[in-house]
Amino acid sequence: MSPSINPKESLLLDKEAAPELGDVVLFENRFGKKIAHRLLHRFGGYCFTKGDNCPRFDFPFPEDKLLGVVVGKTRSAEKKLLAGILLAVFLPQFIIHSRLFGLKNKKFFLLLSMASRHYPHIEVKKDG
Amino acid sequence: MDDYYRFAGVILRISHDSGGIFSGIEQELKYYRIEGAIDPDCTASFEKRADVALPQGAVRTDVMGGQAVYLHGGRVYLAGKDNGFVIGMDFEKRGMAVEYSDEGKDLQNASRWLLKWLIIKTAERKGVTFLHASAAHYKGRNIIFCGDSHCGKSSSLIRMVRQGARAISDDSVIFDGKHIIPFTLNTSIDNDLEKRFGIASGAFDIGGYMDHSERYRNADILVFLRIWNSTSSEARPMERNKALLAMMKGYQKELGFTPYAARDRNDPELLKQIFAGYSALLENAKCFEFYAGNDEEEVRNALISFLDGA
Repeated sequence: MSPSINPKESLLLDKEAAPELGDVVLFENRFGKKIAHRLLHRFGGYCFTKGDNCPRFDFPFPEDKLLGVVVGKTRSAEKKLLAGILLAVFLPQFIIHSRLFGLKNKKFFLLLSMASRHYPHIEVKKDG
Repeated sequence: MDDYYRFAGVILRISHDSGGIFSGIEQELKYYRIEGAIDPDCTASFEKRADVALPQGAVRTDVMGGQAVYLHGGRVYLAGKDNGFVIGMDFEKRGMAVEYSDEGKDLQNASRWLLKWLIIKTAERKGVTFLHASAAHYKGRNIIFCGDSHCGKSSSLIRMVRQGARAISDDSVIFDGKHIIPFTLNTSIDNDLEKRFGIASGAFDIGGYMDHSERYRNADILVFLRIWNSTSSEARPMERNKALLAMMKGYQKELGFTPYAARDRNDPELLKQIFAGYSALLENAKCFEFYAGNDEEEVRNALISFLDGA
């Protein structure tokens, strides 16, 4: 699904949504691997999918192997760890500088809340 | 002069000189000719001239069927090896222009092949679906032979025709959502007729075995042809979802050999349309794989007895 979804990116998944043709869906393929590709067609209880930049179609899979509709992306665990390290290193300096340059507390907490946003997420590996 | 042709609801206007390369192609088109000037959906022109040349600055992007493919000013050009011809394709205006100085077999083949795809691509815009297959109407049932190139689609069609079947199409099954429309263009049937079937080359016209005004309902039997190295042939049932996947793969493969590949290969709307068309075609069809052996007589007998019992 590159460039819209890259390998190992974390995705937001809606398990309750009814997938429509054209949606990017997460499914389990015949080897038990989880794949996010575009749903192109349904026929006889099977789903037909293809990655936007894959030359080939995926092997059709039964509808019960459909795990949900991809509704967005979230930050991966690695990115969160990096954000945590950066926060630990720069937070004390940020506080000192905010005192020195008179940055308002409201802005500080706004930035802090943006840096610590958390979503439930699922790891997706690219196939093909 | 201008001639008009109608294929599956597509009006094609061909402008050409008298004689020349077009006279060979015209033989195949004779069943589709219509009288009178009608606003065309797509156009083609054939012109013999001494100074055939690619546009200055055209960039070579690919090689297809032994011909070099160039891109210039939003148009695709197919050029012969010895610069004896140039075929320009204008996708937006749905037109092709053949300019040539030498009449060779390469030019004839490339022209027929691109003309076929011009018609198919124009027909697709009208909701028509193309399937790389041959089809026959045999004992009240519509039988479609699918498979890769050189796996025996046309041969199976000839086997059926010799058994009394009517031909529906050779190499290109055209389906309008409700009916299969008889169609033949760019047939490869002539190539090894004599060797395989004892028919003199040029003496067999598949169009003569077709009822061109007939419309056939969906497929009853879909046969995926496979070649295997064996003295015997064998038919095996095939799941319909696998048949649909094989049909889609076949479409992508055929499209990949055309100048339309870059534009259409990943067009989701087109893929949806093709999926829907193939599903409708498969709606009431029984699907089989047929493994054809080495012996022509054995293959023919096995195929006929399998189809009689299917």
